[in-house]
Order: sequence, then C-alpha cells, then structure tokens
Amino acid sequence: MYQRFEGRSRQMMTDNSLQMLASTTSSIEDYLRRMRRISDAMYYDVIKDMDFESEDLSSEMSLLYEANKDNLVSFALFASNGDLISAAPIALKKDNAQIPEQGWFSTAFASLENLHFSTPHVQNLFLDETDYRYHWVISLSRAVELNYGGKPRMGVLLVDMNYQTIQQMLESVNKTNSDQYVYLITSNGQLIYHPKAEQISLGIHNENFAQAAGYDDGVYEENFEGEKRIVVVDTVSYTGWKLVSVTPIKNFYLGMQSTRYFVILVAALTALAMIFMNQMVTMKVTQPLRKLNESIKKIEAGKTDSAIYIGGTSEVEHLGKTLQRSLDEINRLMKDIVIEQEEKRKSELDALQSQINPHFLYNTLDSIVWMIEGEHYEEAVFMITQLASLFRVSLSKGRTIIPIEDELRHAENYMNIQKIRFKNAFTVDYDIAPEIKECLTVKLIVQPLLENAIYYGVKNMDEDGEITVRGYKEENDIFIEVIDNGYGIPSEKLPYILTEDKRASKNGSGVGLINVHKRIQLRFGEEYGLKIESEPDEGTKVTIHLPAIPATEENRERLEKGGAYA
Amino acid sequence: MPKNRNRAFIAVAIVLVVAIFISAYALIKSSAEDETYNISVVVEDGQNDRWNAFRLGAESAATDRGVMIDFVNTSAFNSVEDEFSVIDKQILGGADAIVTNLIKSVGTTEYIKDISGKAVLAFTETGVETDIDIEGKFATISPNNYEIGRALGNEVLLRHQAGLSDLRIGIVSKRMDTYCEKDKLTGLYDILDVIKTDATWCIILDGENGNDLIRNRSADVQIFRNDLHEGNLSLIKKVYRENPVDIIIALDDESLQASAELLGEIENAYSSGLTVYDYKMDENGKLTPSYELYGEGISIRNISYLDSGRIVSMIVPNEFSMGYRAVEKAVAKLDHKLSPMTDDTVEYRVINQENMFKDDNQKYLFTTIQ
Repeated sequence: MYQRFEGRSRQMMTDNSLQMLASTTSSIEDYLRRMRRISDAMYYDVIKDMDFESEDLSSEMSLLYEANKDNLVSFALFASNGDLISAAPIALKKDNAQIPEQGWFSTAFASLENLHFSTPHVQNLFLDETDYRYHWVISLSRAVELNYGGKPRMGVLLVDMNYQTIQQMLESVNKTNSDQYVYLITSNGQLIYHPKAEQISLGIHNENFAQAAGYDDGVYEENFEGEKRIVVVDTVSYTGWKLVSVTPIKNFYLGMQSTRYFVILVAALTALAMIFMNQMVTMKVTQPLRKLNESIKKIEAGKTDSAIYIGGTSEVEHLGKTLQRSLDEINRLMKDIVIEQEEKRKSELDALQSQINPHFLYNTLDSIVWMIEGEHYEEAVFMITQLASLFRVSLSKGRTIIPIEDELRHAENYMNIQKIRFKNAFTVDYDIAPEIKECLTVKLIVQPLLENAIYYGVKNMDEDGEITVRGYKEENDIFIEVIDNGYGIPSEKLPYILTEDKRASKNGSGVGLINVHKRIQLRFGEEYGLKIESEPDEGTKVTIHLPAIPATEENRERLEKGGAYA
Repeated sequence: MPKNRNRAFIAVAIVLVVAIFISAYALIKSSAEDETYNISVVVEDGQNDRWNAFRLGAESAATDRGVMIDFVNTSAFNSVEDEFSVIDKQILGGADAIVTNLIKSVGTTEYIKDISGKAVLAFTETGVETDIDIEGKFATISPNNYEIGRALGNEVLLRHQAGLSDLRIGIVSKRMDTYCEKDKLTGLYDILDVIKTDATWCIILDGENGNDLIRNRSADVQIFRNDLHEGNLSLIKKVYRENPVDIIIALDDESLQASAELLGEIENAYSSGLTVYDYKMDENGKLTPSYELYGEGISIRNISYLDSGRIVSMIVPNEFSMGYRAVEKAVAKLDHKLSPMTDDTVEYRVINQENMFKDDNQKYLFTTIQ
C-alpha cells in the first residue's frame, strides 16, 4: 500500500511538473513570438519600405518601442560595419562598444534569413552616465537589407529583450517551498536562467546542463552528484531552448515520511493493545488453573490439610471440587489405614501376650503342684507369690507401656519361679543402672529373652549356667542386655533370627525374639529393637535398644495411643 | 516454558513501546517546523549599492540554508562603538548570528569576547583583534587584502613598464583603522618599493589611525586627513588641486568613486573653459583623464566609471561569495555548535575596460542586476 501510495505520489508530481512545464513553455513561446513579430513588423513594415538615404527611422522605431517597452530594453539598427543607424530609446553609442565583435552581430550575418536569440548578456551599446544602469538582455538579431537610394546594403536589426521578463516568468514558477525548480538552457547547454545561477558560477551549486541539453522532451530519472531526481524536459519552439524541471526524489517522501511514521505508530499501538488484551484474556483463563496448580503443589509438599482452590470458570471450579473431594477421600482412607494399623498392632500385642501366658502358667502351676505334693509348702507359697506379682505386672491395668522398673520386677519374678523349677541349675545376676528404672518401655520384653536364655542357653548345661541381666543408659538411649553362657546360636542361623526367614528354625525361641523385636519397632521405630550377638559354646548376648522416655503419665498415655515417643 | 513465554511477551512489548516512542517523536519532529535561525548583517551604510553583491550573496545563502536574514539599515558609523551598539541591539532583538564588517580592527578584543558567547560571529572583509580563538567561535571571510594591494601596484607597473620615477602617485583610503586597509597599503608599498617609487601624498578620508604605518613606509609622503569633515570629493579635489598627481590609487570603493568623480569634475571644468586644473590631451586633441585611476571597487558607479574609461583598472573582490560564505559558515556553526568556524579567503579579479564584458566577468560584475 505504501509503495502504491509512493508511486501515485510520484506520478502526481511528475504530471504536475509536465503541466507546469507545458504552461511555462507556452508563456515563453508567446513572449518570444511577440518579440519576433515586433522584429518582423519593424523589418517588413518599416525598414523594407524605407530609403535610408533620405528617410529617418527614428520616429517609427520610437513608436514601436513605446508600444512594447515593457518587454524591451532597446531597438537598434546597425550598419554592416557596426555604425549605429537608429536606436530607440535614442541614445549615444559607446565609443568602445566594438559592435562587430559582439556575438549577436556576427550571428546575424552567419545565417541571414533567420532570427537569432542570444544568451543573456549585459547590454554594451549605449552611454548611460545619468543613472548608471546596465541591463541584462537577450538579443534578438537579424540581418536586414537596407535600401540606400536603390542600392542595397546589409545591416543588423537588434531587438534587446528585457531578460527580466523571462527571469520573472521562471521565478514565479520557482517560488515554491519544495526543492523542485525549473531552469532554462539553450539547445547546446548554455545557461539562460537558473534560480541558483550565481551559486553555479561560484561553484557552490552544480547542474548537469550538458546532459539536459541532450535530452528530448520527456521525463527522465537521473542520479546527479549522489542525488536521485526526476527531470522533465520541454523544448521551446523556434529557439530550441530547453525548459527543464528538476524534482529531487526525496521530495516525494517529504509528506510520506510523516505518513510512514504514522503508520508505524498505529501498527505498534494496535499490536501493543492486542498483546495486552491477549495477556488479559490469558490471565483470566489461566489464573484459576494456576491457583489450582499452586494448591495441588502444596498438597504434594505434604500439607494434606490445605484446601484445594475452587473458583474461576465453571470447568475449573468443577475440577477443583472434584479434586477436593478426591483429597478428602484420600485423607479419610489414610486415617482408616492408620486406625487399622493401630488396631492390628494392638491385636498382635494381645496375641503375643496370650502366647506367653499359657505356656508359662502351665509349667509354673505344674511346679507348684509338684512342690505341694512333695510338701515343700514354703517354696510353693514363694512360687505362688512370685506368680501373682508376675501376673500383676503382666496385667498392669491393661496398659502396654510400663516403667522399666516394673518390667524388670516382672523379669525377676519370672526368673525366681524358673530358678525354683530348675532347682537353681543356673544363676542370675542383675546389673541395672538406677536411672533407667524411671523410663518407659513396652511391657513383657525382657521375660521372653530370659526364657530363651534358660531354655535354649543354660537349661541342659553340665556346668552351672549363668545369666546376667544388665541395664544402662547411653545419651538418650537405654540398653538392656540378657547375657547367657549357654550353647550359643549357630553362626549360619544368626542373621535370620530376627526375620521371618525359614532358615532360622523357629522352634519356639525365634518366635519370642521376633515378637519382642517387632513390638519395640512398632512402638518406637525401626532404629530400635533387638540386637543378637552369639558365639557357639560361648554364649549369647541379646540387647534391647529403647529410647529413654521418662516415665510420666503424659508420656505413657501418648505412647499408649500410638503417638511418637519424641 | 511459561517463563520464556513471559520474557518473549515482555521483549515484544518493549520493542513496540520503543517503536511507538520513536515514531511519535519522529512524527512530531517532522510535523514541527525546523528551527529558523535569525542572522543579522551589520555593515556600515548598509543601503549603499556597493553592498549589492554582498547582500545578494548573503540572501542567497539564507535562502539555500533556510534561515531568516536581516540586512540592517545603517548609516555611516562615527566610531566602532556605534557599530557595536547596532550589533548589541540585533543580539537583543534575537539574532542568533551576526555577520559584520567592522570599521576598526584594533581594540575589539574585549567586545568580541563578550558577544561571541551570545551569538555566532562572522567577520567579513577584514580580520579583527581578538583573543586566541581555540574553539573557533568566529571566523573571518575576506579576500587576501595584501594581495589586492600588490595587484593594484602591479596594475600600475603593467602600464608603466618604462618606470615610474617621474610620475607622482597619490593614494586614497577611506580609513586606515582595519587590518584590511593596512594590508592593502602594505601590499601596494611592497610593489612600489621594488621599483623604488614613493607616493606623493596619501589621503585618509575618515578614521584616526594610519599615520604611523605610512610614515614607516615613507618618510616624505604627505598625509592628508579629513579634519574639517568635508565630503570625500571635496577633500580629494582640494588636495589634488594643490598637489596634482599622475596616478591615484584608491584602496576601497568609496575612495575610488570619489576619485573617479573628481575626473568628472575636471571634464566639466574643461568643458566650462575653467583653468583650475592641468588638462591632458591625446594626440587628437581630445581631453583625456588628468590622472590614471586604479583602485578596488564593486559599486555600479565604479563599474560605470570603469566602462567609461575614468578608471583604468579595478580590483573587484568577490563580494557575493563573501556574503554567501559568511552566512553559510554562521549557519553551519549554529547547526553544529561544537564544530569550530574557520577563516576563508574569497577570490578577487582584476577588471578593466577591455575585459569587463567578457562572459565570465559580466556575470561576476553584474550579478546584482539579475
């Protein structure tokens, strides 16, 4: 569109130049035609009919001059030797005028039948000492035949046209604010008029007259001194003068430059507005999605109690509600799983406790029966007392978490019973740090170890068996060791004792250890539990690792409810 | 990905905002009219036709460069202070640049220092005394005045190759207060010295300086000053009557014109049959100029006197070029304030009756008539 606009603008300016040039050429031609007619009138109507021997031309010449003096500087008739015959307005010829050497004079004789137009020059004919004026003229000269009493003589009729007339014609055309201008040259490129004639003669401005003189009428595009321009040429008839209009191409862009900036401005504003609208619409659509995404990220980070964003368009709102429902469902299921786990743990504990009791009770009661039958009443009473104490601790009002002191008493009760049953076939040493007694533990964890130490460690030993129970605290941990000097555990079985692996033959002993280990871990965490060290024929050391939790009611209740110990 | 997309949006938005600002600025700038500078031309007796070519040159440059020009209507200055006051008024009136032809070259330092900060200055025809102008705040556009002086001497020599020893020479100058006039006198004397010729008298029509310079060159020369404030012609006539000379060399247009007018008076005196002058006749008994007149001139009157033969040879500086270049340099300085102005020398031509109507010379002499 811009290109089309530029093209049309260029075409319009060229058409204007052509029109203006045609009109100016026509004016110049009119003027020159009038000048030729004046010359013709003078020659054919006056000079031809006159006998110069007896008649004077002055009055006729003055009349004709007066009628046309607006466009004329002077009329003059010269003899072939340059002598002045007559002139209007009447004036004295300069002594030093050298008429025959002046261009217009010699040209007139060069081609007798023609009228000759000179280039502009300063008239150098007459003395004018009163007003010190010099006139720029274009000389229209022709050779004329003068009748001197029937004898023909040659002469030159000179019409000096006022150069200002042509100058004014062209200056009026050039009085525009644009860089477009018009100049006039002869057919061989000599300057007649140029708006910057002085600058050209000084070398400040240049013009390619020679090239323009070679142009035929028409429109040309040329590059002159780095400037592209449109040149329109029109020829003035008869003289062959060329009227040249020059329009620098940059002229076309003068008005278009601002149009270009305006188009860029509008386009940029439109694009910016579109981008902003686009951003606003995008934001409107994506903001609820982003909020939804943010709330999901929070949930991913573990904040399961965070609310899902519900808002925005109906679709996003529906998505949010669905996600919220799903999250609620997941939370509910998670809670159910926790409850289930808790219940499972409780039931496991109950099962373990119920595993211990029947065995032991059967054996103990059997021993008591045996004592009574043997009339060992004191021992039977002691045994029953120990058994009662043992059960009191076992029950512990249904609590699973008890102070270590109670647990150790329970172990001592058990060992006292067993020692009677096995007729002091082994000895038991207790080395318990007092500070651990005031800490909490899961109940019934030492007794199964002692049971194992008796039945699989020292029971069938030839020598006296020794069982040591040692308890101590290291930083925030409590360690209770049950050490026996029994047969030990084969090294190939040792790694599997605390696992469900079949390679550790679980003939009773393993089940008890695993139960204790799992119960500790279930309550206190994976880093706690049992550690078994054994050397065949050397003995076994089973270490219970517990956290040191002060035996307060608050701690106990928390642990009972399955809460974290720390 | 969204981050990159945001960055791309921001980048595009920035580019568009920049485009909006640039195009809006360009639109405003292109629609606003260019700043038009005002240039004042201050010369002595500004309406005198001797400034026609200079004025046309200045006005042509103003048209070409799109500036306003004010050729200030002045009369003769009594002193350089008068000229300064006209310049001050022009600057107060909003002139951005001053093109001036100062009538005095010495003692101008402080004043030029003062006004060069207020307006661009272009001095024509003559240099003036200034501080060292490192920044190029002003420039002088003039012909080579020393060479003009020499050219005048050479013109005399050319016509008197046999020698000048028995010829009396008078020198007329408007003033001797400027470097221009001093340089011309120096150039002329340098030629006269070569042929061991001295001037008989020297008339200084106006001003206050020059005696020392002339005395330094010639101890015997008579110096006449216009102490009675007479007209130029009257003073030259009086001196010539009492001390007739064979050759008068006028160093400026005004002196040349007055000297040529004296020849007219002599012609009239001869026609009236008066015997107040010694008349010279040619072999045909026709009156010839009583003295040969050489000088520098530009006015149409002097051209006419040259045409009529009263002036033998005339040095014509290119005043059109001087006016044009002075304005052009002033506008260039206004456009590019940091670019220093530089001095410029314009051409001069030696014109005589024989060559004055040659194509290039008539364009040179008669530009104003167009």
